[in-house]
Amino acid sequence: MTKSLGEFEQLLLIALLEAGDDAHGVVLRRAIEARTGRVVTAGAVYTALDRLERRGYVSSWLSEPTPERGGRRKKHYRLEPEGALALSRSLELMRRMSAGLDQRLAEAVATANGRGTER
Amino acid sequence: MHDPAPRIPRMLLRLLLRGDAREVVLGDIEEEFTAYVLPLRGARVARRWFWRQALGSVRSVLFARGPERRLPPSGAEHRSPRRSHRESVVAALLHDLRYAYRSLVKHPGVSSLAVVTLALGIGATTSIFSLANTLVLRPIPGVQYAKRQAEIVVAVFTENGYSPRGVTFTDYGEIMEGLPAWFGIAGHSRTSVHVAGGGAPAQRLGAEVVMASYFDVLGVVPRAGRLLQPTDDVPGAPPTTVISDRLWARLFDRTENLAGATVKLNGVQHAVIGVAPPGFHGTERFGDTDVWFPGASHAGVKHLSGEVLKHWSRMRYYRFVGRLLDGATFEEGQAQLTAAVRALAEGGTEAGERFREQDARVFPGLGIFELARERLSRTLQMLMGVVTLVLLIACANVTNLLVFQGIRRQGERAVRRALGASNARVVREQLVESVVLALVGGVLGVLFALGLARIFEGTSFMGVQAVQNVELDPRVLAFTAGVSVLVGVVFGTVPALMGIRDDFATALKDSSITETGRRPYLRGGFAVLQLAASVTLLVGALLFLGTLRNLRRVDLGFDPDGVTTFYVSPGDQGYSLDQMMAYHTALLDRVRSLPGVQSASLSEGFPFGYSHVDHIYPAGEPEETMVDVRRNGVTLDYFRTMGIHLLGGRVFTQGEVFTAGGDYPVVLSEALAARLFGEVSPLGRELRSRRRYDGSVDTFRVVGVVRNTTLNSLREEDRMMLYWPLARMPRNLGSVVLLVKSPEAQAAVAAAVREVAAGLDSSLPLYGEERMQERVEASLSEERLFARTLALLAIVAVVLAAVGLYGLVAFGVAERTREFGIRIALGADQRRILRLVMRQAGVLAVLGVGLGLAGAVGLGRIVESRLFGVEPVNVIVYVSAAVALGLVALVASYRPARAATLVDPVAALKYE
Repeated sequence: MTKSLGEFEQLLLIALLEAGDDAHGVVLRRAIEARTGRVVTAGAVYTALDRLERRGYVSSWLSEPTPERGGRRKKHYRLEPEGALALSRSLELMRRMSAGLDQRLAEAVATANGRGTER
Repeated sequence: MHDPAPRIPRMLLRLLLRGDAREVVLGDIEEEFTAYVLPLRGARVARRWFWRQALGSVRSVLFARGPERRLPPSGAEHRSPRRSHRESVVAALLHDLRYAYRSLVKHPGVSSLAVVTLALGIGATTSIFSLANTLVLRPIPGVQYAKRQAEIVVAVFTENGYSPRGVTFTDYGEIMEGLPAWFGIAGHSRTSVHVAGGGAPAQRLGAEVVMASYFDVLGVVPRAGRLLQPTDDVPGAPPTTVISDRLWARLFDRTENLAGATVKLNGVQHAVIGVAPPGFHGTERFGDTDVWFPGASHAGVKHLSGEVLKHWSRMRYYRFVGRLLDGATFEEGQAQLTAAVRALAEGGTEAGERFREQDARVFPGLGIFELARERLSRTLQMLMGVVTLVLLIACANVTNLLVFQGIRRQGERAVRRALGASNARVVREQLVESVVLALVGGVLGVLFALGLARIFEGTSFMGVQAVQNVELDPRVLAFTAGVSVLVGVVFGTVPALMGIRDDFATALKDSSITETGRRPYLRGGFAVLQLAASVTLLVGALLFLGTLRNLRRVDLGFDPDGVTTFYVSPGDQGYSLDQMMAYHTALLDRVRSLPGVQSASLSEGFPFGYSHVDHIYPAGEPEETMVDVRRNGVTLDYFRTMGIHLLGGRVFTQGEVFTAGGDYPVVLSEALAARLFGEVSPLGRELRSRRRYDGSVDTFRVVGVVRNTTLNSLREEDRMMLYWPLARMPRNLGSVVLLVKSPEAQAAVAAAVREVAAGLDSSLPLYGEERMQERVEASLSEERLFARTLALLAIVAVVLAAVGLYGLVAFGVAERTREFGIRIALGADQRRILRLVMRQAGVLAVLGVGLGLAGAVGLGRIVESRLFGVEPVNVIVYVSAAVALGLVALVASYRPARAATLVDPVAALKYE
């Protein structure tokens, strides 16, 4: 099934790409929060990755419990080739659609901001 | 160690997530919390973070919309044939849950209003149920055969109570002979003892003197060692004791082998023969017994000898626990006991004389003081009734809200049914939605109940320290869950049925044309009553808050700041009078020389802790002119320690304080001086007092006058107080108060003081340590309880009334959509429509406030005696409450009224 990636899924896959071998929920969540300033919950990360895993985009394994996790096990994730393909397709799509439009977008945003301040 | 992570969200995650999700999500949150958030952002922020993560995660995981989980819009109808029935039911339910969640989130205003309303209702019900659970339902740990246990009291019973009469061992033997229904009966009697041993510091603990059969009758099984046997309870038997599990842990670190283990009880060596099971602390529900010893040890432990021992010659019990044999009834047990007592009374013996008026009464069950039981269960039933009423009102209000919402969602339903959703499905969805709403309300309600418990912490309920904590035992949680589901079904039924008959909604609308009025009046009346109750309760709360404020402003006459109080009872340890005096002197000397201690004193009592009353009269006047006064025997630094100013004359000297005999110098409070001598200076005058126990008359000489202080209550205006030297204490007075004033941290000072005491006699502990400030505050506990209860009820009532009014106005607006459409089409402007709707709400509010103020006058009359410095009919308070409620009514009706002005005339008229 080919299905386009959602925005959050894109963010997750990018974070996964960046994190490399140490990818688990905490690292991914912090990366997204730090880069985007968005509040993301551990549960949202978990369910999205679960979804991606079922599509074959990522794989995961559980490690042994550790005390700093209150004796709970950690789930590690890895970006699968399929996931990398999907991400690159998705980003490429964005890039192609927005190519050459930076200037116009900037203008449009400026107008929107201007209107905002007038009020 | 203190765990900074909040418990509730963690519990929530553990409860709501399953398998992998729980493991990973909770683990991630925990890890990040401890590794990053807590160290970098501090405990406060971290806690909030944890809450947000937990709630957000629950939402994401439970309502995840993965491609594999998504079902076609009408769910069950299109299920794939491979799925088992069970799976499909679960899937359909999940679908319904998700649907419910989405539609609740779509209307956040109405949903949160409904949830808060339900949370208040369910929370109130939960807290009362958990009170009943703690007081009545929960079994007493360690006790078996609960169904056959009873408490038995031997006493002279009157209508209002009883005066206890002791049963001696001889009596006991004779009574027990005629009791075939009973497995056994055992006497027990409460006391407290100093316990020292095992290297831990000495402590004063709750103890029980018991018959050897006590543990057998209760079916208590030892945790270690053995429990008492008949041979332990004969005169001359070596002193033995059984200790509680927690004392075992403290003194002996739970060492299984008890051979050679001993403790000192009031300084007397006892062999520890066994340990009671964990949680067993006597038969009272809030028992605190840690030590049990047989009656044969009583005289030894209490250091009774001579005259006193003769008085106590044989240990007597009047409270008993009994266990019926299997198959016997309490009626048989009672009948046999009565017969045995009667037989003894008519036997012509000396014991028979004493038993003439006595009776032995059987009170089935253990745990609550016998005579309080009936009153307690009646009170609990009444409370349950009140909260059920609150819950029903909450349900009625939520039904109103949902019906209003149902009318708005008519279009949505029509579409869904056109797409093939069955009647059953639409009803089910609405019901699931209601139950979800109620369950969310239930979860919030539990939190609310926990908060309630914190508010009422430390207040006693009918003499029982009951409201310590709402314990979330499974019984309470099951109850709350059950109530929530039930409530969801109750308030969801009407809106759900609207789904079947959409013409129901139309009918409602049509009826608005012809309806001449009974139902609107009924609903309006309901809203008025709710508003009225809010006003009345609000006034009550304000009156009590005013009372509290006024009481806190009362001049104490002393300075409680930095003063810590302790008790010490050398008398219980068997000290002679001389030994006591020596101990007092030494203790005071050493405490005073501690670093950081400004001053210290010993006394018989202190403000908010006086119990001694005396009668005195000026010398030369007849004894009948005597005055009742509080008295306090003090050492010389008492006035300095308590910050009580000397107004004239002098205080006591060191010699006077510790030397018995001679003419006693006394110090009077201003009020007492004025009462006895008027304007004339009391200095140098003589007073007399007759000793109650031997009739001899003492003469005192007034040497000083000090400022008035409060006695036992901030309300008392009578502040007549007589101070005399500590040495003049009655001989049998066992305990004294140690007061220590220090600017240092209380815990450090207290530790140093306890160490000093342990150095003087390691088996004689200080106890009852409390800051003077706390004692002052504790004297306000009743007023605080009233203020808090009323404030809480007022908040609940205001919220309910607001929701009720909102629902009512919204409902009315929905019903009259067409009318407003016509009006607007005919040119009515928005302001006129707004006024039209608000005016009706205004009429209800005015009626409600008026009725509520009338109620407040009645309430004021009832509580008048408990107020202080506040007029019960109080214009400021009345106006504040009326204005507050007026604002609430305004806010509650504005939103739906505003909706009326936005009616689209074309759309409204198209309905026809």
